[in-house]
Amino acid sequence: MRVALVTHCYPSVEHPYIYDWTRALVRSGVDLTVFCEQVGPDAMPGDGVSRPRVVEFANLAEPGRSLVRCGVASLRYAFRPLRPLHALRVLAVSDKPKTALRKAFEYWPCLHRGFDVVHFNAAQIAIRRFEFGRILGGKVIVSFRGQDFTFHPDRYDRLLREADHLHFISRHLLEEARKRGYLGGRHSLIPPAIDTDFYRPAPVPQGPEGSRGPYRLFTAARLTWTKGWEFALQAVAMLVEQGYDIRYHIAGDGEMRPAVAYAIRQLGLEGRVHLLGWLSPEQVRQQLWEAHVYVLASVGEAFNNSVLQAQACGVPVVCTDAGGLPENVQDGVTGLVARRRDPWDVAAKIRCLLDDPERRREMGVAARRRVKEQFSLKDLVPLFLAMYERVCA
Amino acid sequence: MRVCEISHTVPPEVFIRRHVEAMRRYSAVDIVLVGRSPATQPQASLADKPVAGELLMPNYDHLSLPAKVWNLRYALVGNSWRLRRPLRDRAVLGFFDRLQPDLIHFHMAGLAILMRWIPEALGIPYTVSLRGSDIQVEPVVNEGYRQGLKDALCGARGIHCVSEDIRRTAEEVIEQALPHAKVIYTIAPEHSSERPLARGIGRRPLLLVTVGRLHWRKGLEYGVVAIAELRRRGISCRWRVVGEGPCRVQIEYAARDEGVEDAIELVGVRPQSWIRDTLAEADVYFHPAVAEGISNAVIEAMAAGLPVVATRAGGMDEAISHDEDGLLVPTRDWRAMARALEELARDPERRTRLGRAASAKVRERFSASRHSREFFELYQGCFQGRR
Repeated sequence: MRVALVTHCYPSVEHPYIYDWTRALVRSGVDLTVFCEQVGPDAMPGDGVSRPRVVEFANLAEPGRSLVRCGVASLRYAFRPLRPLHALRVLAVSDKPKTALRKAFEYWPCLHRGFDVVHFNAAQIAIRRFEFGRILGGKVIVSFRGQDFTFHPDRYDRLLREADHLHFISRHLLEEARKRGYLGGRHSLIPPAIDTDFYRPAPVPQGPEGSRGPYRLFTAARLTWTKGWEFALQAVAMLVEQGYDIRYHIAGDGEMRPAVAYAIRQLGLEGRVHLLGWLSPEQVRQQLWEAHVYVLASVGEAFNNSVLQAQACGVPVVCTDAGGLPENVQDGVTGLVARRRDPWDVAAKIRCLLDDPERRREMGVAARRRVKEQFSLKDLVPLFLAMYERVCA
Repeated sequence: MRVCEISHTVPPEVFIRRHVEAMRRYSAVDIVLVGRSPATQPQASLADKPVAGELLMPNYDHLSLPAKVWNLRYALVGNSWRLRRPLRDRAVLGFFDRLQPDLIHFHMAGLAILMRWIPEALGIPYTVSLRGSDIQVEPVVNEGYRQGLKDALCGARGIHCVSEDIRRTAEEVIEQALPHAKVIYTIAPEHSSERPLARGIGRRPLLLVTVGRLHWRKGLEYGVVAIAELRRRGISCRWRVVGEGPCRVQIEYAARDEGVEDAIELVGVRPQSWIRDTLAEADVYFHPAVAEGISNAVIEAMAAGLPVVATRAGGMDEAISHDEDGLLVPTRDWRAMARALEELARDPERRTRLGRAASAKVRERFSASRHSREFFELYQGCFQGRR
């Protein structure tokens, strides 16, 4: 089966999960081509064998590199000159002449073959490049992963109507889609999954700590407003005020960095909270191994992979009830779920866990077991294959 | 004394326009206001149109080609100091040389960092205004900015701080005492008409107003949660936010998520006259900011006789005494915000009392005459011997 995956950036530091499961798909024999708008730094772990083919769209902002790519593609088309022209006909009927010309240029390096399935990795890129699916000539699958869909659900009605198949990563998103008038019947619900062999509990268990710390909290997420950083920091400040000795490490970066840095200063948390910037998966795992509790005080979230990683490492989670997080963390079993935008509640839940090492351990074990059973990368691949086959049938 | 004041934009922000108008009452000072660029982004705090005495600096990033060529004439007049500079800098320097200022005043610290080479090249002193994020946020995130700020403040002959809190923060940030820093409060606009007595909550919901950019510094997400909490406490209210900014999506989402989207109006940028009318119509001014120098919008609302609920961000406690002329709550504490709003909603006499006290205080502490006198002293101080 020939599958095209269309994504924004590949490989992406911000979304390492794409890299993991594309490699898993290739290993299981799928003929996978990744089309992306930009190629990210290839600093991910893994072998050189099971790598998908990667094709980058041409880009008017980088005319030099793009022209070279277009030239190489044209050499290929010399043997089948009608194929690209045939494919690009879609643009001529669907777009204004100027837009059609620009898109024809962008898609020129991508037209040497057809596909059975065109899978858009996110709704945001699907709405930008929906006609690309028609050009490649396969069935169109769109993944809904939250993000912009959560904030502007009204922009995505066309996808809900016209795509051949929809993929939701959480029941929460499916409900949102239903609210926008999606009637059901052509979707799959496949939650994200992670490599539970890589994200495993610490080889050396944590030593016992004093009654009031030092405790380590950890979060790995982009520094954007959706993650509710200010509420998390407020909760940490409350705990510090109550006498807990806390070190809070934050991995990630983003446009809210000034707000986060200012909040750290205003709440008197300098020296306790450390902004580490982007970390490699190994470094994230190391941080998880050292953490007592994983905290995520998001206000808008579709599912969240980093919480899965923490659970797979056996770290109990305190998160909020935003979007799909309650599906991700089983409240009271693998972690505690607090009300969103309520720092008092978040602080109380963190305190619950810090005060009770036995409960932390139990939750860690339960979390690891649940992720292994339900969100393991090994089980994800057959689900995707089944979805592709169902669409093609 | 001829003073050249530099702001980011022409037309400048309203508080800068008021400052220039107040300073023009002194015949001893001749003020020219120079903007670095024309105002492109809509902003509620911008004055409506440029007026006489407001010039645009020949900044080559925004000029049309003929204007660029025309401005090069400054570069052709040969002076020894001009030859060592790039062409575009020579044109800028020529522009300022022609204005023949005795003193240059930068209205924002960021401007002083970028442009203090101009007064240095012209051999004249300069002064700086410290207002808010340029001192509270940028230096914390950006080490290069902090160094530049330190150099700029040490080289300045006088420093204007909008509040005591800003002065303390500045001294903390650059780790050095600033004896030449002086706190001069902003100007409240004059409101001739007296506000009528506040009414009890009848059928009409309580109208809350905020004027400001939709920016994380303004803490509007906390405001949304406070409104939701206020509703849960059984107060029917509407919150009107005047202004535009990068956080619109965040606030809209928060309003939808908290189920109060029908209570929150993000009306965007409106002209000053519209804002005055809205202040007259409103019941309470609500200011949930997390970072603030001293809010001009709050002072304007106080001048209009509106009771204010504000956070203790920055120098807000210098403008408001709690329970005398407004209510102060801790920053980021939406429960306290909702409690304070509820108290005011249920007590119209208190609203009237706070509003009247506020407008009396503002008339005294934030008067144009006091502001311009103190600024005049700041400018004069630059010429009385070396610091």
